[in-house]
This record gives sequence, structure tokens and C-alpha cells, in this order.
Amino acid sequence: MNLGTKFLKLISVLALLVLVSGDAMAHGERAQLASMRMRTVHWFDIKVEPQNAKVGDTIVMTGKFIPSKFWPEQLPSVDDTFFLNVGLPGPKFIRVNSEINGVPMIRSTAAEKGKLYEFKVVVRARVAGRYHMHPLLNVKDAGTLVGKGTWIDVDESDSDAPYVNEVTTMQGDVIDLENYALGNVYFWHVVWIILGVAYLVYWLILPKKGVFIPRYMFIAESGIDKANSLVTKKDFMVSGVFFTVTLAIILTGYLWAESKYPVTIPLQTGKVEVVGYEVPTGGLEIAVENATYELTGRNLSMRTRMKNTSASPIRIAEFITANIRFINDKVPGTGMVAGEEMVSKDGLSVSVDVIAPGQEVDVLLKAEDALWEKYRMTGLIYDPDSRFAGMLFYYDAQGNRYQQEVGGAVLPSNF
Amino acid sequence: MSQARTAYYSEANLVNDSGAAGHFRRNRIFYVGGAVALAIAIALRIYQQTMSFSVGTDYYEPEFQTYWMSLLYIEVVVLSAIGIIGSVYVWFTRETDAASISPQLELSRYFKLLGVLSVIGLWAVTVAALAIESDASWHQVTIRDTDFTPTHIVIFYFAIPLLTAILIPTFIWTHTRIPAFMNRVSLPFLAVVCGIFMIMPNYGFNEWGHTFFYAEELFSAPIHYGFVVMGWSLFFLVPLAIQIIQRMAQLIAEVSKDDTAVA
Amino acid sequence: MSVELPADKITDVQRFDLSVLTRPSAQKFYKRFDGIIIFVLFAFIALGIMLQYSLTAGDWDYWVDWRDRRWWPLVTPITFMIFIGGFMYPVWRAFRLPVIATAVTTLLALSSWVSRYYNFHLFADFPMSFVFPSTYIALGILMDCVLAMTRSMIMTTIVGAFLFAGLLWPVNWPLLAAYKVPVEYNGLLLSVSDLMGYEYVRTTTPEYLRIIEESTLRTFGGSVTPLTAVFAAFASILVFALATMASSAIYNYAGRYTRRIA
Repeated sequence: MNLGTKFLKLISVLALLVLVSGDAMAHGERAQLASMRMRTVHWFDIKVEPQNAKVGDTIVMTGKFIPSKFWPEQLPSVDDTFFLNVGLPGPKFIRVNSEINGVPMIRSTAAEKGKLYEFKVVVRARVAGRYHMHPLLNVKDAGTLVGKGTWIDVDESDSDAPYVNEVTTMQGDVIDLENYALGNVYFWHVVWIILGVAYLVYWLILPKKGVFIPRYMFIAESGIDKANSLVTKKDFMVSGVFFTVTLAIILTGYLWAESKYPVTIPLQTGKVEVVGYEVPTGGLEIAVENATYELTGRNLSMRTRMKNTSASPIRIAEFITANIRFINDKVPGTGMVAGEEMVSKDGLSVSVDVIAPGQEVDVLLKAEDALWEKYRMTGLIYDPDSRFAGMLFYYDAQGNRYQQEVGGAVLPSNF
Repeated sequence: MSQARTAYYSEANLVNDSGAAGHFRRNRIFYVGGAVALAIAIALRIYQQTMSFSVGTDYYEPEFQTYWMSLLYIEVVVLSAIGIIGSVYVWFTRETDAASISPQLELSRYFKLLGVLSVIGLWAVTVAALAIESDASWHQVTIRDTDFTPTHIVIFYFAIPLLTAILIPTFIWTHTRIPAFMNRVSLPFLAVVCGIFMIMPNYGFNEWGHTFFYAEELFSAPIHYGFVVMGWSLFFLVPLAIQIIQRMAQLIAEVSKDDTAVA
Repeated sequence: MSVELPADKITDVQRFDLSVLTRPSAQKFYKRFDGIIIFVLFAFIALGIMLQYSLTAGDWDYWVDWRDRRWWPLVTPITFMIFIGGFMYPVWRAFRLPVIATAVTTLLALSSWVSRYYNFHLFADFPMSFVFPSTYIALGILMDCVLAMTRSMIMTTIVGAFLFAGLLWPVNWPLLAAYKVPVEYNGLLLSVSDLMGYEYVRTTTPEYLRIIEESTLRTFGGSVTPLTAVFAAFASILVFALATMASSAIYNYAGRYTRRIA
């Protein structure tokens, strides 16, 4: 692109500024290395309801995640510290509640790799707009790991009243966090800014015959020993007054605050513990023998050996990796949530349709879709650690769903 | 030096202009330059406010390339143009004979230098109040997926480099126009220019660190201390001010020597 | 012109005829120069302290749920001492003006308000009650007044720096106390500021990132705040002394013209 076109483009961009809607884009899902996204946290069953709301309405996001047993060695993991968060462009929502396996997640926590965790985040719409809302984990020293996003439309509320966020303190006062104690903050800032500016004006603006050059000349000419005579008796008195008044105001303010808020507590921190559930594997044993990734065909093939140790026939229904769902459309029941993204409706082909009880069989799984390209999974070959992982979902005859993680080395083919 | 030119530049005449008109005429560099600087700052700010959360959260979307990367390219071109053309121009139009500069002209050049410095100062204020913490607020609420995030495109690739792009030509201008600076180099001035310039190489370290070993968005993190240390080059401003004062005090004494009135 | 150009070093002796100071036309120049130099100096001080402060102590000041008893009152004065020391020495040495501590704190307050309003409130949508700046101006005034009254950098280092750090908590307590009131939330005890930190979603600023209240069981009840204040005060004395020495080195050795390399 030459410069001229770029410039024209900018002009048109500026002209279009007014036409751009408040649409927020997706964020971050595609930035990390492909292998890292495949091998950190497997998110599934993410549901956000409702997807249309008004300011003040409550929205509930639920879902599950399993930290990968194939977590990259070089990356700090969830077994140290992580925080359950929501991916939103700033506080357009207020987080009302969040929990993992029923434990409130106001604080940070830790998780065990390979265990199942069910999360729930309740938010209340605060600013109208269209948002892409993700569940996410902030993993200490590793960064943010993002779950699948859902678009939410938030309209203005019906009433014109300003947004309030009321809370009752333990002393029984009802406060609005949107502007709590702000008048107080403004008052003290104004007091100090006035005093500070007054002090500066006294020294720098009030002297009628100039400040910087005359004072410099005086010190240069009369020598460093006489320099202190520039600070006069009047200056001493004025500084003394400023000093005393400042100390008096500090003391008054402190005593006032102590009497107004006699009961205060330090900031609360610390970690909470949460126990992970066992992953229901339903008696299917899976061993990945090898896996290849075709650069041109945009597919991942896994050659596996599976053994059904359960009493019911099993059908492989779905493969999830890096938040992309590859669904085997021959198996019923693998539904989609309304408006769900990153789904390949018929992306998974399985060489063996039904694995009978007690049967041990080689199964070839192929996850194929252009989504590999769209979500920058083709970068797999540029990763320094060519391994993959994903979740495999399958059903028994009664329609019970089971899942387990599969993973291993992956080789590129068809250069 | 022609008489006409001396008279035209005579600060003694200008300073006696009374009222607001005289004030604006004396400080025209500041008011004109400042208005331009402020207009650019406000325009950029509005752009950032409108386009960051709407089309700036995903580097891999085509919109990001259109709205943000083209802005980046334009910024780089504009800044290089200001820095290079400005420097080359002031070098080739340099004063060759220091002796021909009258005290009035020399004093007016000091005020010109101060005028340019105050325009840069106004820009510095907008950087301080609008740019720096917008980077903090942005990165603490969004997920970083590129080195060229919207706030970086504004602050790293325009707001701070613009200081350098104007300071370098100003540095050359000062050393080729003002006798006290001619044939020698002001160390404090050099330190200020270099310090602010060195913030730019520090971006490289910053991005490298954020990519490879520092995943958290803590603003007061050691990975950012490089910017702070470069900011310390501003400590050289007072010695630079003294260099300016030393000569201006002499010139003012010279220019005002006909003023026999005693206060 | 007959007068020699100033010598290479700014510390070299330079003689002036002080009778010039009484000339009205000279005084007009002096006033005009004051106006410009105050603007330029203050503008760059605003930029410098914003860089210094936001990149070393910013997080504690952005969010009300970061202002703890242990780290915020320690980190903040130390970072101020570096910057104030860098400017206070040369301005006192050359002009005998005890204004830098007040200027730095006031300029930071003004630019912080603009910044929080535009960057955190309008840009990122946080309520001002969650992101208002702390105030340090009182501390700056105290430090400058100590310098003005004692006319001694040494006394300012010992008394001024001590007061600056020691009184940081009481100065901010009237603003902050309201946010430390306890609330019960989902069965947990939280302060109002903790609750705000939880409710107002910060996508990439997780709870564990807060550097607050780290302690062992050897913390003796209520003495955290005064203990921190005293330690911060002594640390500030040391840091201020070092910063002053560094800036005097800049003034005395780097305050010069160097001859062009042939």
C-alpha cells in the first residue's frame, strides 16, 4: 500500500468515525500460541443468559473448565494461583457474584490439573452497548486464559434515573458505590490544591520585580555565603504560617475522619480453596498413538486406541480444543447454544461409529474445518513445543455424556 | 546584519507593547504552536476514545489494520518528516558569523527558544495528563494481543517521540543561532534530548519483556522502570535553565542600559 | 558586545551589576522570563512526576482497593523523594526558592485529576469513587516550609523528608476512611474498597495482583500503620539524601558546556 492510499484511507476513516457503532470486537483469543491455547484450560458448556438485556438487568454466565494435564512446562499454571474473571472491555457490567464449584470467588484460588470445575458468574449490566463476554482465568505469572465469548446486547434502561449500585454496610448504612464518599474526596482535594497553589503564587508570582533571573544574579554576584539572605524574615513568617496551618488541617481532618468512621478494617486478601470434581470418563480408555496436522487440509488427525470398559455402547460425539468445538453430526444431542461461535457443526469424523462394551479398537479421529485457519491454529508448526491437547466428549446408550482429555505430540504433514 | 533586521527582532520594542495585543505578539510562537499542539492532542484523544474499544481490541481483525495500523504508519511518517526535515533545514540555514548578532537579536532568539520550549512543554502536559495513564487504564482492563495496542500507538509512537522530533531540531537551532551555544555543546540540553529520545529504545525492551517473561499488567512493575530512569533526564532542565539565564541576564542588562529611570 | 560569554561551567564565578535589577525595563524582561520558565519547568515537572509516579507507585493510586497500610505508604514517599530531590537541590542552589516539593505534589494532583477523569472514568468507565487520586500536597508544603524556615538542605532531608512520609497516612485518611468501612458480602468480610474492586470488573487486573497487606503472623495488631510510617520516613530520608547528592553531581559536573570534538 503506498502512502497516498494510506492517507486517503485515514481520511475516510475519520469521515466514518461517526458511523461506527459501539460494537466491541473479540479480544485476545487469537493472540496466544496455538499450542498454548490447546494445552492450558479446556472450557466447555459455556452459557450466557439472557443475551439481550437492559441496564440494571442481571446476566448469568455458567460453564465448566478443566485445566489441562498437558500444561506447558515453561508456563506457570493454575496450581499456584489464579483468579476467575470476566473478559469485558472495562466495567460495563458489575460483578455481583462468582463461584467455582459453589465456592465464592471474590479472592484468588488454585486448581488441580485434570480436575473438573464448574463456574458461575453473575453480572449486572451497567453501561449500554454490545459486548463480547468471556469467562477467563488470570493465571499468576502466565497471563489471561480466555474462554469462548458470547455477544450480549445491553440497551438503555427504561428509566432516566442514573445508575445506582447500592450496598448496605455492616453498620447498616446504605451507600451507592457509584459515587460513595466522593464529595468528601473533592472537598479535601480542593482544600489542598488551593493551599498548594497559594504557596506557589506567594513565591513565584507575587514578587513584582521578577524571580528567577534576579535571584540568580544576586546569588552569583554576592556569593553562596550571602545567598540565604534572599529568604527574608517575611518569607520565614509566611512559611511558618503555611507550616502551622497545614499541620492543623491535617490533624483536624484526621480526627474528623476517626470520629466519622470509627470502625474500619484493613483491605482483605488471601486465597480461598476449592476442590475439583473428578472428570466422568465413563469407562472409556483412550490412548493417543499419534497425531498429525495437515497444513493444507486444515485438519488434525488423531490415531487412537480405545477400549470400552463400561457396560454400555459408546459413541464419540465431540472434540474441543482451544475453545473450538468440532462436532460429530452423526451423534444426536450435541447441541449448540444460541449465537454460539467457534463451532464446526460437522467438523469431527470418527472412523468407528459405536464402540461396543468390552471392545478394544483403533479409532481415527479427524477434526477438520476452516476454523483452524480463522483462529490462527495454523501457527501450530511455529510453536517451540509441538504438542496438542483437547477434550473428547462421548455418550453412552442412555444419553449420558462423558469426557476426557486427550493429547500428545503432533506432527505436521503435507508441506 | 542589517539595521532593519535588528529593529524587526528587537525585543526591547516588543516588550514595551502594552496590553493583550502586545502579550500575544510577544508570545506568538507559544500561542500559535500551542494551539496546533492542543488541536492535535484533542483530535488524537477523540480518536482514541472512539476507536479503542470499538475496533482496537483485536489485532487480528481487519478493522484493526485499517483504523489503527494505518494511524501508526502515518505517525511514523509524520514524525520522521518533522525530525529530519526540521534538523536538516535548521542546519543548512545556520548562522556563520556569531559576531554579527546584536544583543537585541540574541535576546529575541532566547525568547524564541523559550517559546518553542513552552510549546513542547504544552505537549508534555498533554502527555502527562492524557496519554500516560490511558495506557494503564487500557491495559488493565483489556487483553493484550499485540505490541501495537491502541494506546501504545498513541503514546509510544506519537506522543513521546514528538517531543524528540521537535527537541532535536531545537537543539540544533540553539547551537547554530545562539552565541553562547555556538562552538560548544550544552551538556544539560544534550542530556534532556538524549534522555527523552532513549525512552524509544526502551519500548523494545518493554515489548520484549511483556512478550516473553512478564505476563501481568502491573503498571508499577520493574519492567517499566526504564521509562522512569529516562524520565530522570529532566533533572538536567534546571542546569539548562541556568545556562540560559546566565546569558539572558547579561543581555537584559545590555539591552536595558539606556533605561536610566531608577525604580 | 563587550561582555564575555558565560564560562563553560555554570558553577564558575560570574559577576553581575546588581543595579540592573532596579531598571523598570529590565524588570519587565524578568517578569516575562518568569512566566515562561515557570510554565516550561512546571510542564516538564508534570510529565516527569507522572512518569515517575505512575510507573513506580501508580497502581496503588489508581484503585482504592490498593491503598493498604503497608505498601502504599512506603512506596509512595520513596518515589516522590527521588523526584523531589532531583529538582529541589538545583532550584535551591541557584535561586533559593523552596517551592519544588509543593510544585511536584500540586502538579501531580492536577494532572492526576485530569487523567483519572478522562482515562479511567470516561475512557474505561470506572466510577470516580473507585479511581480518585490520593493527595500529597500537604506533605509537599510541609517539606518546602521546612526548607524555607531552616534554609538548610540537611534539615530538610532529616525533618522534611521524615514529615513527608510520616504524615502520608493521616493526610489521606479523611479521603480514605470511608472506603475502609466493613461490609458483608456472600459470607465474606470485605471493606467497601475490596467490594468495589470485585464489582467493577478489571479484566487484566486480577485480585492476586494487588501488592497489599503481605505479612507474617508477627504483625502486632494495630501497630501496622505507625510502624510503616516510621519506616517509610527513615527510608525517605535516605532516598532523599541520595537523590539530592545525585542532583548536586548533575549540577556541579554536568552543568556545563563541552567543547566540540574536533
